[in-house]
Amino acid sequence: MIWLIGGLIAVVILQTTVTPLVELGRVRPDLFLLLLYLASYRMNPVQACLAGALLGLYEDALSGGPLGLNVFMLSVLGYVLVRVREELDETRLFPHVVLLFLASLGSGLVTLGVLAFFGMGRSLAESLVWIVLPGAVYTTAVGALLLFGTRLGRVVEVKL
Amino acid sequence: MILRLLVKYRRMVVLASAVLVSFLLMTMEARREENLTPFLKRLLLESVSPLLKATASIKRTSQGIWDNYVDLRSVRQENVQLREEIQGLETRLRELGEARRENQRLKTLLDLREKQPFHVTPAVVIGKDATNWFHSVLIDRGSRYGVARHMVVIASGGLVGQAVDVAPSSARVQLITDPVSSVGVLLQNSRATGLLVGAQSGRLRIRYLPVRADVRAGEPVITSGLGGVYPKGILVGKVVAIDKRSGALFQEATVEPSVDFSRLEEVLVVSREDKE
Repeated sequence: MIWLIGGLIAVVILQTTVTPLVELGRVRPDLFLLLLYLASYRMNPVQACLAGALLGLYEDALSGGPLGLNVFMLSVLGYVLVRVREELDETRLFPHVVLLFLASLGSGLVTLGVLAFFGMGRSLAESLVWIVLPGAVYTTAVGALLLFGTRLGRVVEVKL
Repeated sequence: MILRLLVKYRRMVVLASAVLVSFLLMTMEARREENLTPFLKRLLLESVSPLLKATASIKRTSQGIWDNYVDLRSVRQENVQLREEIQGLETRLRELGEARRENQRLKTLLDLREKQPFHVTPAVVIGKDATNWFHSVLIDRGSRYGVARHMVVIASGGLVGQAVDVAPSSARVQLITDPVSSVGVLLQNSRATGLLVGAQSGRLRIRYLPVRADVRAGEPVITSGLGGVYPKGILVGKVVAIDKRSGALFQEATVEPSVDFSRLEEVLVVSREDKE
């Protein structure tokens, strides 16, 4: 729990102050989603769902969206990620990267749908081109680097 | 019996509860209920604003050190060429650097502050929107400093946006480039009025411009004062392109904002009370 709070503090700072500096075409990686993805490796579905709700509350407070949007998104995603990953081979990196991409893409598409449902709809084509697809690619690229780094760290640790 | 069922299906119960709570929160926010969601947002914003302020302060300090380093390097190069003539240049330029730039920015802001007929509160940008979906910034001044919801925020270049979530020591400002932002504007030369709206791409468009209005590229765009939030006369930007379709009732224009939102550091929050 302490590491999750520590991660949340780090992500709050990084997402609001550091990621704007590495913005590519107005798109930044979603570090809240990445934290949830990495944290869910140590959690069961219920814990991941609650962790997602906590992260979502802070992401909502720090964005212009309605409170509850990311609570919904990340709590469902936390639950689903753990359930899907139970079926994945832990030793192979590629399926995990694909899962992260699908999670990021799904999160963007569902956000678009929820915003439309609550009367804050956007143009589908513009949102896909400017946010959903580039955001999913950027988040996945950063996540893949992190996953690769943690695996490399584990290999080095075992060899030592 | 119920307890046993809850324990048995606890995974689904937790998931369903999270979904239910999130939809309740969104519904309350969409229906603009004034109690719970603004309070929760204020609480959450307030809990992280000291962290963001400290980070912004560290960022500014390190930026200053880096700028001083860059200045020092350029001064040294210049000293090689002009060593005999300008011996004191290195020291002098080192003293300037970031401090001079900051002074200039603050001076511009101060000049602007003097010119404003309203009471203004200077603030520093401490963070940006956490998602890619909305365009907003966090500032280090909140209700404790007199900032209130819907107060207009400007920078030395012109209009920035309006305060939308206000915590005691910080606030979130919705930028005019936000897809849900709309501002009543007036084209300074043609005197045509329209509605300035943001877009996901960050472009600014003026909608509902009368089709007969003689709008030209380069024309300054200012706030019209219509709508009750933004006072009249604040510079917004200039027209860069006009979209006039045959048979359409209105024409549209693309606007280049006068403020560089990617480099926004200091802003002024304008209160509605007249300056005494």
